Amino acid sequence: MQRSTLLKYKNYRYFKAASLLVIFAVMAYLFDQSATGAYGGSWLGYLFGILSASIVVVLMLYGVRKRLAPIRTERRNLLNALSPQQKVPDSRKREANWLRHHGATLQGWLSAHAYLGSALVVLATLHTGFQFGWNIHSLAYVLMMSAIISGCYGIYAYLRFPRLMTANMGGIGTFDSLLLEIDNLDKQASIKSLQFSDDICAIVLKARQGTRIGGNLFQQLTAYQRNCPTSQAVQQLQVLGKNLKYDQLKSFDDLYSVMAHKESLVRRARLDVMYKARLGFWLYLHTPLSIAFLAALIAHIVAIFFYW
Amino acid sequence: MIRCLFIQISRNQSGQPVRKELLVTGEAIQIGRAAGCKILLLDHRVNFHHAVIRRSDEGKLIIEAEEGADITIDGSSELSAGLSPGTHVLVGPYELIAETPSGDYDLVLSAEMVHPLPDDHEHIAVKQAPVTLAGTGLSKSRLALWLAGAITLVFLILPMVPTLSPTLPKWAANSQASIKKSWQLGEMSRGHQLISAKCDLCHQKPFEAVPDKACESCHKTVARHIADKTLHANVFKDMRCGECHHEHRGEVREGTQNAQCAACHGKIKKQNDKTKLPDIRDFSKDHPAFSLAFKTGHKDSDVIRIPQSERTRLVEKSGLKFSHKVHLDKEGVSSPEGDTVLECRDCHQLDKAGARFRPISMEKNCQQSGCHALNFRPPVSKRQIPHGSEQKLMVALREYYATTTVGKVAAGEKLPCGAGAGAGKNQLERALDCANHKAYVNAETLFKPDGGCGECHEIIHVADDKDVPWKVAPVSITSHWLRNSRFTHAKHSTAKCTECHDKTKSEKSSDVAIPAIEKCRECHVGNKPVKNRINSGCDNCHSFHNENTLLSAVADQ
Repeated sequence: MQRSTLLKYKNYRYFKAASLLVIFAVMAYLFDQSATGAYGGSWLGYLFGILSASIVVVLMLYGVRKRLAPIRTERRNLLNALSPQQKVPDSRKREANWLRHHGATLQGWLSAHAYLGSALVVLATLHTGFQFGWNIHSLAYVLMMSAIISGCYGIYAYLRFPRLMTANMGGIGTFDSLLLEIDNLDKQASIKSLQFSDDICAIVLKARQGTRIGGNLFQQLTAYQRNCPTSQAVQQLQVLGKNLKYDQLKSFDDLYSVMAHKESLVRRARLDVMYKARLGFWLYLHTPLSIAFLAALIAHIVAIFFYW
Repeated sequence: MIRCLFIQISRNQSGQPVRKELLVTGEAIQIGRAAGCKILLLDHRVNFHHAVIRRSDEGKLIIEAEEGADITIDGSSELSAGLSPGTHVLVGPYELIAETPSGDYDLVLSAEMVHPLPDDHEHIAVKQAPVTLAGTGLSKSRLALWLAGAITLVFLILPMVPTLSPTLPKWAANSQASIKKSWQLGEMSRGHQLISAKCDLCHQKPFEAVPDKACESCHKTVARHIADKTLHANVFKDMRCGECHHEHRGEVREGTQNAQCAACHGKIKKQNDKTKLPDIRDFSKDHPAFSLAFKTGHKDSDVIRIPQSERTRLVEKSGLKFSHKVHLDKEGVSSPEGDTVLECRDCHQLDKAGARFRPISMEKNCQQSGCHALNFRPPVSKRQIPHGSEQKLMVALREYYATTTVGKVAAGEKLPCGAGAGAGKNQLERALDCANHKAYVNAETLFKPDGGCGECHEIIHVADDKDVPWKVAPVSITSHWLRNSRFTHAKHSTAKCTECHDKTKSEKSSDVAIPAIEKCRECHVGNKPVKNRINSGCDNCHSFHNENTLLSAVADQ
């Protein structure tokens, strides 16, 4: 579903547009016989620069549109609720209809954002004329490329992780209900462990109090807790169970199965956190890099024309 | 025997205590989680056997921790303590308080869970760590603002400050070079590296292109491309120096220069249908045959250019008679020192720039070796007939013969002109007449078209001048054949002279031996690189700011 809305949007409308743009730009670059040679200041270089800057504006507008989307939805819902019978003028209907059919949806914006952003790799590189240096101009280029690379990862993440998340959480429901289930198992294990020796009791208690889902950035991204008490408890219970008396075995099996079930749920909870982190982390790079690039782009343009 | 009333306190929903009493008796009262304990505290923070209450040797009630267990008495961790009324004992999460005994009890002990495990959803143990990225303290907007702010400050505001505010503190003025360096597009061209820190020398006003006057403040004698001012203005209009001269791109490549020339010259006929210049895009493809510049007078501009394709017109009128064949004979040419084999460089010596050759002169090149000494024949003295002026030659001859005839008169000898000459004149006058006569006769011999001066020069008879009726045709040797180009012989020293200029068989000085363009193309190619050939742009041979030579080009075509 993700693929169909993002990449295949309106029968690859923005893919086609971006491809045409790229082909056109490459052909122009190859066949250009500009007297000044290939660089940002030739007429073709300026053209590539203006085109690239215009695309950057469109890319940035996606960020604005995305943040406006919840507000628009809310306002629409509010209007509908307030005046369900209110007559909408025909012009407004036509406008709404046009918007609905001409890519003004958030998915349309995202599709355009992805394809035009990718086209920028070619356009901006041709704009440089392959001349780089230790200056603000190349810094802007590097920031732009970093933002685009992080964005490409974002597309990959959007296409890959939601499916994995659904598969991982299958049959459980929400993340909170998973945590409640784990807590419930903890309580069960606590009660079941009371009849056993202090060793077993301490292990179960530690598993209850020391197990963490999530954590710092690294732990979230890797679904990893060093010396996870729950995993350790399951391993140690296997050893300790061998020394129990026969009449305790039945109860111990109960305790063990509760802890093993808890371990699997903890693993799934951590995976869910991991998928969410991997799905969201790139944005913590993409957004700051994009804003930093915007600042560098403005500095680049001002520098060029300040010392024309 | 200890009789103990154990009161277990729990809390109802409204938080009120609910007491549950239990009589416990025994020699010792065990406290713990194990089924056999008399006081059973069900929590996994309580040990299987946590503590025991018994009587001490003195008969007092004491509580002792079991091995490995930990109890806290009135706030401090102890192994054992007396159980006097009011003692608080912490066993795991339970607080045990010894109350004042009543009735027949030895001990009244209440227990309440004071550290329950959290039981609501907000306190789920596994939820204590952040499960979202935002929860770890990461912030998109904070990082974005920091990065954008730093970039704006360092790369936008600081580089502008020195220009916008001339009354800056010293530190900013001194550091402007390094701050502004971040704005430089690329390496400075070699010629301008010395002033690379003084941006304002060229970029005089913000947001205004570098004006030509900034360039002209140093480059005061730059020639126009086209000598005709009106035509130059029409062609280039308000084009600035900076449109061709990109000073922040390191050393501009040859290919760029070519493209700049070809932008106009590639379709020059389309741009100006009156032009006589051909369309040229590439040296190896459409460059026309060379035009040779033949001198027509003494002035530098007295030149006519003839294309090499018009071979019959390629005749040099130097006024000389000279056979390269004779002088370059492999057997040698006769000289006072015997037959000598000459090489080109014996006469043609490079000028200081290594581009062309020093002018040939009679004194330096022909007489130095004694070959063309202008002695009297037979040699009557060491004197030589002067070279370069017909008048001086006549004066020298007259002087010589006057000395001879006057000497003869003084000695009473006969004059060599016969007795009849100079009748009616005194002896001295006759002697001078005789001397003039001898001088004229000898000069007549010298100025013969094929002997004496006529051996090397063309002699013109001047009937009007009775005194010196001969004139040596003016010598005009062309030293710069390809006027519109730059050719450095020194750079071509790997080739023999005769590879390009084959004069070994030339008998006449009118022969021209300037190589055609095909000879150049054996080594040089145009814009497109070819293996083992030299990639040559227009500016390898031509100069853009060269109005004088191009003037003649336009005029002669």
